[in-house]
Amino acid sequence: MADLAAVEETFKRIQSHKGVIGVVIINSDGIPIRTTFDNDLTVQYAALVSQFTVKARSAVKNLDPEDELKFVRIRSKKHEIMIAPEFERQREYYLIVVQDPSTD
Amino acid sequence: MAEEQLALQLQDGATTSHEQEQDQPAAAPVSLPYVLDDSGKKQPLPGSRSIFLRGGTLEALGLSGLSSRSGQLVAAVPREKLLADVQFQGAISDFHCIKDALKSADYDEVLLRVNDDDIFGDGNNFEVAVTKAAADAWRAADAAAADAAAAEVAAAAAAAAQAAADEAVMPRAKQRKRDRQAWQDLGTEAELEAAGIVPSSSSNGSTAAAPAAAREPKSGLLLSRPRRGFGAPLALADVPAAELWASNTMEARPFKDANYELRKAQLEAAVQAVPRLQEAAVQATGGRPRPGSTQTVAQQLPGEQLEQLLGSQGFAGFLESVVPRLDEALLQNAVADVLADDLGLLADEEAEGLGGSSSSSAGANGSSRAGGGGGSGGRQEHVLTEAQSFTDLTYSKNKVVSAVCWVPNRKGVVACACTDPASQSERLASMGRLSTAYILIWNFRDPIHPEYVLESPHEVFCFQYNPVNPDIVVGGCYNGQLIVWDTAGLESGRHGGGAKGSVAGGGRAGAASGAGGAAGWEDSAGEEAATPTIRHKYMSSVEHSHTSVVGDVCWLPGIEVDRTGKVFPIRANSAGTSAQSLLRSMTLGAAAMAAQAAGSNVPRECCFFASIAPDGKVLFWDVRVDKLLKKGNKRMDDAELVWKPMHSVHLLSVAGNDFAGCRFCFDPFRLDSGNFTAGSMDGEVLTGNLIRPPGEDNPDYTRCVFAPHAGPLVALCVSPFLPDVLLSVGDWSFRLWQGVESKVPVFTSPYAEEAYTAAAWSPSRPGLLFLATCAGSLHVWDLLDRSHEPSLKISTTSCAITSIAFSNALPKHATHSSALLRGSDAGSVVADGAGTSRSSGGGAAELGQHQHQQRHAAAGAGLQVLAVGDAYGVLHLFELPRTLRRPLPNEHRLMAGFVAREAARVADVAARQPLRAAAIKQLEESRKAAEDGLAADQHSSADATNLKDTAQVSSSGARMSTISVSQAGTLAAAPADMLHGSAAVGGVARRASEAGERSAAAAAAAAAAEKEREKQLEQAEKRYRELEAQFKEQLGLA
Repeated sequence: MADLAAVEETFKRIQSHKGVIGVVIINSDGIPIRTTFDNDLTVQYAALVSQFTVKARSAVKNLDPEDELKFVRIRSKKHEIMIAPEFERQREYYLIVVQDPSTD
Repeated sequence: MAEEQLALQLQDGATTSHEQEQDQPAAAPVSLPYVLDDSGKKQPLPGSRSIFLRGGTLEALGLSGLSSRSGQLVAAVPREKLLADVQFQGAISDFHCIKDALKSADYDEVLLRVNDDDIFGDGNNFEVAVTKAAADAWRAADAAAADAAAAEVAAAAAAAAQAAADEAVMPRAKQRKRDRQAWQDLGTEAELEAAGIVPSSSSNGSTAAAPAAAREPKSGLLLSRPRRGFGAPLALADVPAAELWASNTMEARPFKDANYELRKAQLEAAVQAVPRLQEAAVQATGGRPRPGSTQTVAQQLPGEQLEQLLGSQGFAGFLESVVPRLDEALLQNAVADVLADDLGLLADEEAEGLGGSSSSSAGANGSSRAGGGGGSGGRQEHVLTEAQSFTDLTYSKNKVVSAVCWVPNRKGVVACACTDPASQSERLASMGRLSTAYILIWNFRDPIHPEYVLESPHEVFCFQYNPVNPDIVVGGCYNGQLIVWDTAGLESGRHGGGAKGSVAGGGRAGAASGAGGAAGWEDSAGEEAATPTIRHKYMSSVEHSHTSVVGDVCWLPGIEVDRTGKVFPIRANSAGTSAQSLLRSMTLGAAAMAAQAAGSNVPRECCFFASIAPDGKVLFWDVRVDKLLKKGNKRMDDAELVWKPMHSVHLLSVAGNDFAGCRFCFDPFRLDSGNFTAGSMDGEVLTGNLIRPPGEDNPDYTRCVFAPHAGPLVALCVSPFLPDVLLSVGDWSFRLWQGVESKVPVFTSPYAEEAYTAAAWSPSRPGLLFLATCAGSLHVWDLLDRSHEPSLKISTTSCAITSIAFSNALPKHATHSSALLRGSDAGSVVADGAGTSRSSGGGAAELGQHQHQQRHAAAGAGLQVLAVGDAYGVLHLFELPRTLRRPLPNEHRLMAGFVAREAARVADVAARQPLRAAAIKQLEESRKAAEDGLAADQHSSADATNLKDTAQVSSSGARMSTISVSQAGTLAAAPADMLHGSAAVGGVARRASEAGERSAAAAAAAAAAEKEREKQLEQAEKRYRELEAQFKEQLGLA
């Protein structure tokens, strides 16, 4: 279970960045695996972001079948939602980080 | 003739007579009392004269009653009466003008007729008939007029009667009046009956008609139509209008009726359609409607599966591949300011000039006192304008502003300490006596009266506001005591209507006074009623204070120092005043608010400060004196309480005496490391560590001490942008250091004409330095523009400037405090601002630093005010022009580059030091060798015989001298840092050439020594060649 500690450590480190509001990891089915948000928000993020990411990936794939989606940044007025997906077999997860870059 | 005129008159058709004419066409023509001339104007009748009669004349003749309105127009006056009037009055008589006519009148009783309508238009009011014909005509006319009037009246009466009758008979007014018609004979009844045609069968026929019908046979008329014609289809068609117009079927053609004109009237009307509004509201529950049967609960993984998943290899691999991408994105977010106003920077580009493009010499604008020579022709943008100056007759006149400090978190409020301009001997004479001194707090709003005054029993030479809780002010006194004021009571006291604060033993030296938080502030009576005075809250005990004037004080936010000399970050709940101060800072301090918002970025506590004095000590104090008081359960007597420093650090100077410290500063990024730098009155700079090494009774805190300056240090401060760059100012120059331990400054300024007295970094431009001189001018050094002279020299006052401070500079040493925790977390000093390490620690540190840059950039965007205190007790405030305020794009990087370049230069010089030493040594040796050769020459000159040898020797000597000279020339071109070497070489070369000449002069050379000498010469030549090559190489490198 040494890996578990490493995961925790990574999680903490991401959270320590300036303005990071929350971190969610979901699997390919849109089921949250690890989250810092409350349940409702997590479910919402999980559902919406997984749909979005699948769409975005299909767009990239359709443009060039060899290509692969690596990173999605959604900048909104309030937040920035960063999605780092991984589509390889056995490790198909999405890492979602919500940041408010304007906070001091 | 009269007949004609009357006829004409008829045509004229005027008024009543005309109507009469119409009613009675058979009536005789009416005579008129006037005639019409050719142009249609009325003229008096022939034989009558138009005259003007005055009121007096009228009365005299009894004619006053005549007027056209009364109807009596004519009066007869005896002719003699008129003539008598003429006789009596002469030329002024009204009748004088018609005297002759009167005399020749053919009848007596002359008729006068009133003409008050002035129908002839000649301004006269009467006419006189001088002939009988005229008089008759008048009478006839008047009679006719009277008849006409009577007829009219009668007609009107008849009409009225008729109307009344009509009204009575037929109420309908519209009934037409039928004229009575003459009877017409149409034959007898029988004839009529025979002629008439009477229908045979009239249902309502008269009885008379029936016999007639019986007599006449009925005639019949049959109209038939074929059967097939019934129901036949009809072909109806519209004829075109044009055709119809011309065809015969057009029966009624439009024609123009002369009787009336069709008048086209326009009607303007407006109609506005107002849409009807309807408001309706429907409330529905939010969310997407879902049928109850398909409602779902979000899927969750069971706990054990989740744990397994989190620990799986795949998940770790996922994180490994994904996190670097995320880190990059986060770093980008941190580095690039999303909300930065790029256009705002662009707008300022055109105003730039001082840093980049200024080339004209300073002093172009000398007209205004505060006007500095602008970089590009003294434009308004480059002129420092004096916004305000403060001086107070009571407190600051004829005093020296010894320290200036802006009140944190308050806009436009500045504090300055005033001291007497006494000399050392004067001070010695008055030693031991209390000399009340004041710190004045000026507000921009009132340039006459200070907002409030901090009172001190001794003169204060330095003071600082607590960066976290700006109510606390700490000052250093002339006698070495430290003093604390608390201004928190001021606001509440002021609102309380000027209640007199209790002054609890305020002035007692050596004891903390005003216990229980009752900081005494009072309204002094009289003229200064407007200026509240705040007495100090605590004062350090004399025995434990400094023994000489306190040079500098400095707050240490976020750390604590204990009695054993250990430093640790402040404990969150250890502070006795924490809740109170936090509350206050929340209401007062924007910085503290921001600190709260940002979590633990900024230390919320600042209870410790350090002080330095020329007695060689740095003392560390805890301002939470309350805590000491509360330790004893009951309140102790003030005198018993002794406020002592928590920790004391003793420093030694170069000579081993007490270090006469007057300025110091701490490592801003790593306060808890305990490193500090101090400057002394003797121009020494010292680095040390305040942490007491364990187990040593008399530890040496000093790490490194040396004396780079010739006079006392006036400023020692860290650049707000490059935390590793330290500025030290003393005597006539300033130095920049990157690590004082190396003892070599990165940059040394040339000596100025006047001694510097104060200095400050620009809070918004990394490359800008402000230095004040004892002659009252400000030197602005833009290191990125020029480093050999100040970019601007601005004359501000006529006396020495004693202190300067920037308005939006963050409090001293609190500048970098927000990065303190991050920096220590990262575990690495941020040495290189442009470092691009991607490690997490480095990233965090970069973030912290970036945050600072942002904050400073924001500070530069707003108004910047420089407070300048002078030796006459006046506090001047200068508004900085935009060029001195706005950083250049990339200025931070440029400045870092400048420092790096200078550091590289210093390192290069240092690296070449051994090489150069070796070269000098070699040159020395060669010089010695040449001198040896010379001695040999001289020695052998006595027994010189061979001419050939002589020639050889002379030629070789000449060769040697040419080599030497050429080498000297080459070396003379060496850079400045090679000066020593080249001078040495030059000297050697000169000597060598002299030697050559002398040897050439020596006619006879020793044959025995020749070979040896030649060898030596060759060796020397070889060595010179080597050296030459070396130097050339070095030159190439340089």
